[in-house]
Amino acid sequence: MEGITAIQFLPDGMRDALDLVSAFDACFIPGFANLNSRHQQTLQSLQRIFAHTPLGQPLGECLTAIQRHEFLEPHFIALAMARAALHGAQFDALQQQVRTALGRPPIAELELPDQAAVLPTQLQAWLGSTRHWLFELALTGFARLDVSVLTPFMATLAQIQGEPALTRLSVLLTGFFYELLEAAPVVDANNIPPARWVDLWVRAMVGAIGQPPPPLTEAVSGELCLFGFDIHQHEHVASLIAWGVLENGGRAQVCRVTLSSYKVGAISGDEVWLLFPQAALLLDAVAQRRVLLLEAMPMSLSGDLFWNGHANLGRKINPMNLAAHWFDPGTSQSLTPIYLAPADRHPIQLAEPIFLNDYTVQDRDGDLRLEWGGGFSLPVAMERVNSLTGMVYELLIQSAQFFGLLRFNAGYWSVQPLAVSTRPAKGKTQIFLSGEGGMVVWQKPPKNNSVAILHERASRLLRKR
Amino acid sequence: MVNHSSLKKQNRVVIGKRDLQKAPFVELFASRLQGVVSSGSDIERVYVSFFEAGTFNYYCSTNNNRPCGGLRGTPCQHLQLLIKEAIVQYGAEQVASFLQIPGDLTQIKSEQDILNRMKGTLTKEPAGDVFSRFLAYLRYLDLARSDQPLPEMSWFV
Repeated sequence: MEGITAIQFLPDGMRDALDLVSAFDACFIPGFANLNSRHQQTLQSLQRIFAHTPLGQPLGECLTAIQRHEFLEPHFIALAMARAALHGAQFDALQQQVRTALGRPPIAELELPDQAAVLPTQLQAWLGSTRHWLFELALTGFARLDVSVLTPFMATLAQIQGEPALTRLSVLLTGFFYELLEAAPVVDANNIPPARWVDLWVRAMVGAIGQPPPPLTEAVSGELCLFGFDIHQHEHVASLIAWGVLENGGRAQVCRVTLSSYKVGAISGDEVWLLFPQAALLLDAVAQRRVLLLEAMPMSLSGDLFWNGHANLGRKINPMNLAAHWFDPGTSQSLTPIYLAPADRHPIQLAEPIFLNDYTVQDRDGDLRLEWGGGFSLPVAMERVNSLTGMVYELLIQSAQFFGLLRFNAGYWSVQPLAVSTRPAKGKTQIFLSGEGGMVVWQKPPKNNSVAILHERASRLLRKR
Repeated sequence: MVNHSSLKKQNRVVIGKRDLQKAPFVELFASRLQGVVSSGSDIERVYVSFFEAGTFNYYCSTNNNRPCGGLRGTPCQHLQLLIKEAIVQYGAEQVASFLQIPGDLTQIKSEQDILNRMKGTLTKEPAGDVFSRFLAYLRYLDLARSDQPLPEMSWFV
């Protein structure tokens, strides 16, 4: 455990980088049409940092124009790219910090095609109106957010949602749009979450500049051991990410399967599982603690499997023992890690798998922490735990072993649970995997469930017209 | 205190399960509480109802713009159900605050508490806008599923 204690301290320069981002984000509150001299100074610092980079010149032009109250969309593309680059650098520094602390080798950069996907004119037009809307939003400022700033974008959003080539941008814009709509009109600017909204604004702008080409994949076979699901959702999208290790001959690779579905707000709680008929085998493998035998499944260089259902249930396993085998900080197993493309890097994407034990769980003012002797402790990242995972407080506080993802947010590391085991005073050790309850819902769907009712309504009313 | 978190504070309010058979669509949108209520007798027919925030003006008609027979100087049963289901979905306080109900909102517990505080008038409006919002809502269920990694979802829990 000794190495990992190093993550209590931020890497060199990180505090300054975090402060600069916060100061930059503050410009979005009054909006770029209403900046004061302090905001202008922040933009100057940003420009100085990038002076000797390809962003130096565009940022210089942007700054001069903003001072003259001339606002043009390309200037805001430069600002978005600069902030994304700051976060990319933070990601790299933090990933290096955590890998070093765990005694894991650095993640090698991959040669990926750096050209954007070629999109039809129609799609480019939608990206254009997205950029324009984001530009207007930045000028207006979050403090003056009103429904009238939002509704003009609805038609474009609906078009983007219908286009599978733009799914990544679509799920982001949809979540961001409805979050803003819920908050509008902003009455108290103190309730604005600047870091979050500017993150979403930047990711949307970067996505609206161009889309990455479809990932290169190779067909893989082997034994996939799953540790549970990381679950993400907003009102209109639910996304399951199964985490596992794929073994084939001498090669072992950390991998993920992501399955996502659009939804509406009325579909919530357990019924969300019913949106994922294609996940049945994955859910079954998690619930039964069996490996999946994959047969020629496409996998990208990043370690993402593109689920095609070509798999069978295999032998029974003890996921906690396997998690300890692969992810104990003291282990020297060689595993190919997940690789994240440079354009996607942001501290929120850090997810270093880790197995932890020999801790005590403490409740510190309602926040759970795993504590070790010698004063080292790690907060449990409850803010990342979706209620569908079943990783509830009562379970976590009883845990004796913990497998999860090291996460970074708001300036510190924490750990998100994917699997825990408890050792009751009497009886056998019990293992709980995140999302293992999904199988029960899937096998016995409630009668008159929202998914079925709305599908019926959709087929009656949408097809009629 | 500036919020440096990239993640949303989790909403601890437990949202109830709405009766979708009775009211498949309820939303607080722009300046209206609006929605679609199923007809009790005809599966092909739905009622489109709304209350306007601030003025409390209201209307209810079929999706073919026939006025609801239940409107006799006061909100009909569809409009009452609309408020009831909105309370289940959003909580009484949020519904009351959205509608700009005057007074102490913590005292509002039921649809009757809200109805008692609203003195609006019947205002005829075409059902088209709300009904297209409902169809757009249903269209989410028709959109293609995805099997690709979506790093963008990391911001949503």
